[in-house]
Formats: sequence, structure tokens, C-alpha cells
Amino acid sequence: MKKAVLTSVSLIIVAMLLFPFYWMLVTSIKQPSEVVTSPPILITKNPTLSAYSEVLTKFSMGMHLRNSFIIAFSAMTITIVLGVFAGYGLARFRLRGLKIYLLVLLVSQLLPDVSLVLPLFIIFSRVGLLDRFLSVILANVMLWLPFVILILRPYFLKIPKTLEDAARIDGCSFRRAMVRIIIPLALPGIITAAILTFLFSWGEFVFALTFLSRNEMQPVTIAIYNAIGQYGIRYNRLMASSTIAIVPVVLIFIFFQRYIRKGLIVGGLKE
Amino acid sequence: MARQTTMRSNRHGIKGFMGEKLLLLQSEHVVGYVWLTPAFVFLVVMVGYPLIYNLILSFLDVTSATLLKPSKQFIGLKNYILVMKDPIFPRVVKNSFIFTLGCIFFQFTIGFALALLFNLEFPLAGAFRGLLLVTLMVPTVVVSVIFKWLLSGDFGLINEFLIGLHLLKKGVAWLAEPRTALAGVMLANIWIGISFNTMLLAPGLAAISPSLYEAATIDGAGAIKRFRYITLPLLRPTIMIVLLLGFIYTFRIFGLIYAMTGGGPVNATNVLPIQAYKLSFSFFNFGQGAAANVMLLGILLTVIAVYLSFVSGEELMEE
Repeated sequence: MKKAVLTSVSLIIVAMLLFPFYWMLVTSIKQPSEVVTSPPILITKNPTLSAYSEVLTKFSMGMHLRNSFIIAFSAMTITIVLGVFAGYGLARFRLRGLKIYLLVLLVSQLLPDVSLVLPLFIIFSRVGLLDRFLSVILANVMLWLPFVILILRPYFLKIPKTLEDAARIDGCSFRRAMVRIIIPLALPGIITAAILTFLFSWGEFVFALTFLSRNEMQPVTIAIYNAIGQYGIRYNRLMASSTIAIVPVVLIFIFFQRYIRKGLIVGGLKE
Repeated sequence: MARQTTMRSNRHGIKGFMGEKLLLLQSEHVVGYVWLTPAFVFLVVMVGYPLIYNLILSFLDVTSATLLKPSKQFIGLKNYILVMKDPIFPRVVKNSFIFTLGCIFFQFTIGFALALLFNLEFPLAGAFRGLLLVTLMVPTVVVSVIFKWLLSGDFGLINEFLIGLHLLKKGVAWLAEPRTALAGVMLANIWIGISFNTMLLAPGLAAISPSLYEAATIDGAGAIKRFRYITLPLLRPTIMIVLLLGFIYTFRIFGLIYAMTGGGPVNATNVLPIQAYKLSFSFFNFGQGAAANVMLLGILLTVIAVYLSFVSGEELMEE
């Protein structure tokens, strides 16, 4: 009985906290006339996908999704490769100054991204990287690499060194030992790190805003930001764009939830 | 173990085994650094160098006119003085602290309450806690537009709700009104922050042994006493860390506010990161922007240093 009460109370609280997502979704499928009504229409009786087709055709949402995907996927790949190397190195070897390396990572993870926009903007403009995906990809790698190294290191620490040595004594080449033993054992950590890097890069805002000025290069986050001014009061379009932007997030979240929770807690987070 | 190794080494010949082992020992240190090199070189180029470059810029006369010229004039602390003498600067600093401390107060209190709730044993507790995490994964600009819509002066749901309850007679344009805009952006940030706090406090709570509570209950301690004398003292290190991280992540906020209000109306939601960005990219006073960046970094590095003193060295090494 008491447990049933607790479950219902929690259900109400969680529903209230997630309500903004419901409101986004229901606004996005309303007829334009139903969006601006008083009292508001909480459940639409004649849903329509017209807002979606508008943002997909007139505002080329598909192109922006593709841009976001290119940026997030590339940033994820580079971050994971660099992160696996460094995480393994920091876990496996008795390094002088290990603590300093870890401190540097911890501090860079906490630095404000905004402070790096200006110097990177000038550096990138000098080397001609502005208005190229690479600028935003590199910025994303920079943002999430310290975090990724810090969450991968414990996974490598857990693999007994003797296991690796045994494989090598058995005549396994180092590369084979890495591919056949170490990477598979650290895979849960690598998946966690990859998912989080992808999602964070997908939602990144300030670097894309500053480095990519051409519409055809911009990711969904910037397309939505630009749409705030453009659409004016057309909230059904704005909510349709937002819904489209979070579909990949929700899908990844559903399939990989346990990895996400663990990674966020171990790695010490992001807000 | 030793015997196993011997048997194995016999299979491959003693010489191969010895050589291999010698190689492993010798090269260990050098090889270790080789693994670190790509990531750390990358970070030096992408974080270390830009930070130093930013510091240098803050002492130079850099505007859109001089940006691309090879030599820029050294002007000492003039950029810093100009940033601080700007009549809106006190407002910006005040906003930053009101925003940060206000958000932390509400998101920590509510987040803590939820962590306590989900720590009780009942069906679906874990699932509910997990669901909240989705708010942390969604792009902040999406949170911005959803709350912009909820807080809209025309047909915004929050207005309609308050009017329905007869708490308001007429809709308020929350984000367009200088007196309410800061509260509006805080609401959106608190909404994200609740999940953040719940998520970080939950493992600490779960780690407290139930036998402590049982013993206290037998001794006649009520729920409030148990919370006061068991939960709080044992959770103290976690709480400190959560509060300090909360400060760091909230104080450096940019995207959420920038997309909701752009720092307006009339600087009502302008905080230090937004001011630093606008000095560079709206007013093209890059030198002043760099100086504001240094101030922001100074404040945050101070708090980061306090945070690091709480995360003890041991914890860092073992994790």
C-alpha cells in the first residue's frame, strides 16, 4: 500500500518534470489555429504533420540534421581514438607525474567553453578553418576528450595486467592483444564514452554558432536558434524542429540508458 | 602462476620469453608516454595555447580594425579597466551571482528531495530516476525554445495556467519584461539542474548502509532525526562536491540564456559569459572580450581549486 503511494507520487512528479517535452510534441502536431488559443488545447483532436513537412522542405531540416550527424560522428570517432590511447596509457603504465596529468584533465573538463571561443576563432580564421566542419569537430573533440579519458581510464585499470602479459607471452602480438583482449574488455566504457560524446556534440551550441556562418553548414542547434527570430510566433514549426532534433537523442537514450547513467556519474558530469 | 609461466615459456623457448620480458620492463616508461602523446599534444594545441593566446590578447588593442594586422599595440590593463568601467558591468556580475546561487538553491533542494524519494524501495523507482536523465541529454537550445514557448507572453502555457488559477489577471511577457526575465531563464536552468543533482546525489545515498537507519529507528529516532544525524553527515562530502560542480557549471552558462533572451531585455539576463561573448562578437572589441574571458576564468579557476581540494588525490588515482 505504502509502496503504491510512493510509485504514484513519483509518477506524478516525473510526469510534471517531463511535461515540457509533451508540450513540445503536442504543439508540433497542432493545426496553426490550435497553437494560439486561450484556454490552451492540451490534447489535439486533429493532429497534423504539416509543421514537420514545412520545416523539412522550406527550412531544409534534413540538411541540418546531416550536418549535425557529420559533426557529432566525426567528433566522436576522433575523441574515442585519442581517448582510448590516453586512457590506456594512464591506466597501464607507472608514469611519473600521473597525478598532474589527471589534474590537467579534470581542470580542462571544467573550463568554460565560452572562454575558448574567441582565441580559437582567431586561430581558426588564420589557418582558414572557419566555415568548415573541421573547426567545430576539433572544438568538440577538445571539449569532450578530457572527460572521455577520465571515464575510460577506470575501465582499463580493471583489466588485470597479467592477462595482457599472458597473451603476449603466448605469442600474441601487441596489436592483437589490444584488439582481441583489451578493447573487448573495455568495451562497455568505450560505448559509454562514444554515446556521450556523440550526444554532447549533437547539442553543442557556441562553437557552431561562431565558427559556421553559412546556413548550409549549420547543424540543427543553430538552425533552431536562427528559427527563433525567423518564425516569430510560429511555435508549431519551432516545436517540430525541436522534436526532430531530439529524435536521435531519445532513440540513443532508450537503447543505451544504462551506459549513459554510469558514464555521467563516473566521469563527473556535464550540465 | 609461476609454474604456468614456465610451462608457457618452454613452449616458445626460454630465449624468446626472457627477451620479451626484458623489453617490457625497459620500454615501459617510454611506451607509456607514447600512448599519451596524441591526446595531450591535441589538448596543448586546442586548450593550452588558446588560453595563453587569450591572455596575451587581453593586454593588446584588438578591434575589428586591428584584428588581422600583424602587430597590435600593447595597452596594459586598459581592456580590463574598460570592461569594469562599463556601466552595465556591475549589473552583469550581480546577474551572474543571482543566477548561479538562485539556481543552485532550487535545483539542489528539489534534486535532493527527489534523490531521497527515489532512494526508497518501491516499484519503478530506478526507472523514474533514469527517465530524468533525458533532460541532461537534450540539446540546450531545445530546452531554450521549449521554455521560451512555455513562458511566452501570448498564449504561453505558464500564463494560461496562472490566469486559470486566478493568480494573474493578464498574461506577463516573462522573458520580454526586464523584471521577470532573469527568473524566466533561471526556471529553465533549474529544470535541467534538478536531474543533475538527483543523479549525483543518488549513488551517495544508496551507499549509506540501511542497518544504520534500522539501528537508529530501534533507538527511537524519527525520520527527521535520522536525516539530520545519519544522512546529512555521511553525505557531506558528496554534497560539497555536487554544490561546487553546480557552481562551476552554472556560472559558465551561455547557450541556454543566449538562445532564450540573448542577455536582454536591457541586460536583465546578461551574465559574465554572455557579456564576454558579446564584447567580442557583437561589439568586436576583441581585446575587451579577451579581458572579460580572463575574469571569468579567474573566478572559475578559484572555485575549481576549491573543488579539487575536495576530490582527494587518492580518489582521483583509484577511480
